[in-house]
Amino acid sequence: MPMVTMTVNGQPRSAEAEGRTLLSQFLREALGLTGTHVGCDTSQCGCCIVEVDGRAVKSCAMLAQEAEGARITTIEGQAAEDGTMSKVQAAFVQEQGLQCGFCTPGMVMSVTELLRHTPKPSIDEIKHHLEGNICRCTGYRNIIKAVLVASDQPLGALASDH
Amino acid sequence: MVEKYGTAQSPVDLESEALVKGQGQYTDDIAPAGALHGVFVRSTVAHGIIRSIDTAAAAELPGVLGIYTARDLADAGTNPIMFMVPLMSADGKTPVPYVSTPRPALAGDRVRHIGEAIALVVADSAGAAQDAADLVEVDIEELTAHIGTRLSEDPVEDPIWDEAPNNQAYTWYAGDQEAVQATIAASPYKVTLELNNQRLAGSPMEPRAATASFDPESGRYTLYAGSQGTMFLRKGFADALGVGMDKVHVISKDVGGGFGLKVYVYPEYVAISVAARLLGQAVRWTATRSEALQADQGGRDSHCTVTGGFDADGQLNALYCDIIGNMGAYSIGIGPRVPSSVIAENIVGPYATPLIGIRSRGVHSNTIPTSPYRGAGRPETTYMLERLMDEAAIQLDIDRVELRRRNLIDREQMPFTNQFGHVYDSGDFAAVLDGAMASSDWAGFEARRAEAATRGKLRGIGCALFVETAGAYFQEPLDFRVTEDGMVEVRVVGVSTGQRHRSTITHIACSILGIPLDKVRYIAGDSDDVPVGSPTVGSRVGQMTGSAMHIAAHSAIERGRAIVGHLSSGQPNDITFANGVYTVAGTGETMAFLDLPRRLAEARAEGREIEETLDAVETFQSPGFSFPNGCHVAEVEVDELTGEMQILNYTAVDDCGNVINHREVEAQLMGGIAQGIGQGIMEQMVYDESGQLLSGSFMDYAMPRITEMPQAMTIVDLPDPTPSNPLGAKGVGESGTTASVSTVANAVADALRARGVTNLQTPLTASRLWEAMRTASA
Repeated sequence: MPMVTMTVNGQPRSAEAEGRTLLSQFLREALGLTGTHVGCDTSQCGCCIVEVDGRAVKSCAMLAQEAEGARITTIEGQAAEDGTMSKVQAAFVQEQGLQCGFCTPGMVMSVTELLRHTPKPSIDEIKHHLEGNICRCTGYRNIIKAVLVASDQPLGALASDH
Repeated sequence: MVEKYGTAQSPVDLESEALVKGQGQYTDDIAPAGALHGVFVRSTVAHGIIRSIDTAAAAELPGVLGIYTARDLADAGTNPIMFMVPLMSADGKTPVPYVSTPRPALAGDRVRHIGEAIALVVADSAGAAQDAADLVEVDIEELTAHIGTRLSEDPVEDPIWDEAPNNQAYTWYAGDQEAVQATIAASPYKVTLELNNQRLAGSPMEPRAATASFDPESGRYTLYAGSQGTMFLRKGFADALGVGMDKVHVISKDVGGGFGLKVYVYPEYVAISVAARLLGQAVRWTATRSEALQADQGGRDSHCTVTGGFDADGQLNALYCDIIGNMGAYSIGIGPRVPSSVIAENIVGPYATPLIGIRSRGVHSNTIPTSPYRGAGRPETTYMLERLMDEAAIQLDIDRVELRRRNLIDREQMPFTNQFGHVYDSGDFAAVLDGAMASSDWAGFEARRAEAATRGKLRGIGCALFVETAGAYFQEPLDFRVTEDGMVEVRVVGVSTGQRHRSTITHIACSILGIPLDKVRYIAGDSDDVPVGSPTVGSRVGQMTGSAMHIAAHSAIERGRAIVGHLSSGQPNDITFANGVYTVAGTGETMAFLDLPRRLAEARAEGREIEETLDAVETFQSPGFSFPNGCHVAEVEVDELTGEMQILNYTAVDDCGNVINHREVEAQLMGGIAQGIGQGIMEQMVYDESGQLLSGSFMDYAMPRITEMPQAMTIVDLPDPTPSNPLGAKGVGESGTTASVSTVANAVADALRARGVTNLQTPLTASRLWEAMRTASA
């Protein structure tokens, strides 16, 4: 099997990968980065989103070999080395933007990308950006709140009634 | 007196940080390195006789270590899965017979639904296992497939079970059928509705996964699998493997959503366990999403005909529900109870209906077995009552809110023993109705409707009242210990699938014991390490486990007082307890609660004989269900030209009893409402007539995305505490779903009524609404 080499969360990583091995599979199985989740087989749910060369990508829709030489960032690379959560992660916790947590890594990766190019997204922009991420638990409302908090925007009408 | 726990300002969240960092331990994440990979060969035919299974080519592939079929499982001593909760008569006294449907872990001579597992291929890599599975050839002689939720009076061709010539699984009655029918016949107004609860796929985001191993020395199987609690699963698992419960060990770590479908043993768990034993190595399996859609237990799928007999002044004199529940190919778990006894437990709702009758008949079909999905009978019940109220209001020309008001059970009537013997101990239904009307500005709606019309939008508003049962099983144990290193250990049965149980239970413990949050070790999900009790089902953990925690903490404080009495000069009645510390009156001597085990050990080491311990298994016993209730309101707009629908405002006014943590209550409601909206507007499992699954991936099975959610939402707590548990808390996990299906359906029906649309069936997709408008105006 050919070796594939990429930079993952700032570290050079190499492992064998079959031609058919998906990037999501490679990250989870070969590199042990199990924070990237697989929730569907059809790139519908967004649980597997990672950043590839600065773009949020559904890693189940990309072959590991296509990522040869790429810079990959996964959910494991979001918190600081001392464990301090990224602003987006902290906002998800603060606003309870998660319940079971399975879709959360993909949500965090997607939102992180959004805020890089749109630092103060409107609610419509948030919804548009997250349409490819399915959450079965939260009803999404607290996810929108988390994005507003992470982008230093007031919750406005979304503030809790109590 | 009921203590006050958390506030919105100080949410306790001990669980989310690890999950948000990607450090969760979902089953597939923790499969041991070197575990073998299992892939299932599944039926591509809905109903047929297996003529041959040819594994020869598959077995020759490099990396393949074993291929297993029904014969191998039989040789290994396994049994069909038979785990069933009995279907009881309406009075709870007599078991009601239903067709016995032994479910093989691997189908041997007959397949009964698409996706039924036929063979298991185990290899040293996932790729090799998949390649080999593709080479297994299964020859199936097709039989007539039975699809759909309808019942034939006559025998059918190729019945699914010989015992049931017309595929009928059971017949179940509640109430005085003749009296109900006679009263309806004599009523001046008779309103009938047919309501279909389409088949849903629960679809937790984490697909099911499992890793099995076997220890030949102890003869024990170990299964890692996400579950809502390991106890029911363990029982069915042990029975299927043909071993005692002491020979199985089931562990659930983080679980990526449950919603009812991660309660029982599944065929895959049995098959990989046998393979692990035969191969002497751990075997792992993780469902693909298309496998999950083919093999996870299904939700809902019942057809209800509801009839109400009303007086001219709007009094509902009698109600009759005729239900056909689709069991799928096999009856599993509490499957037959969902469209029968659960309906009876909930059908009274908020209304003082003098007479209610139910006939429920189960039918088998060549589809995945159905069993509980969030709400499990409660949303269906509310749907019948609340759609009926709206239709009756039209026919009787009485305002729909006024009609409901005239039928409500009064707060003054509490405790109210309903027709089926359940006691409502609290609940102010007029208050939740008033609250919802005020919060949603119901009175100002017509102006908004008129404004929308100027934009080509049909605006509608709808409400649904509900009263539901919560608690499911009325006993709950909790194992409470304090260790010599000064930690409280709490062992509970129910596994969190996103409800943050650890946070809530720890919060209760710390509030009572006056200790910091980091002094509690919360242990759940390991069948060897927790007491025997019930899983996270029926909106029960807050009220049941929470109450057990309350009792355990208080009783430990009392035992501690006696221990301090032994260790000090004080008498127990002179010893006070506050903020985690005992103080001996008089001497002023103090001892911390968490220090007592260490001090006890020291005293015993010095030869003191003190029998008391802080440790105990406490069981909370509830007198019955609690009855969460509420009133929800939705406001929608439908585009006249396209049928496209938007939910603009959603208001939920809920009485879930005393609120331990408002934010968690709100989270449960919002998630539940979203799932009900999914049923209301988009979700649907579709089989064609030959039993092929057309909604086989997330490209076809449509679940709510962020854009489908209501634009504005208001959630109000209006607690009327229950005296049935020391927290005064009612359930909340299912309330959102119980209410929202009907709420949205009533709002859409209201929007389209002006266009002459009368019959709407969920899911209310744009194409259905467009079609309904087109047909009505034709």
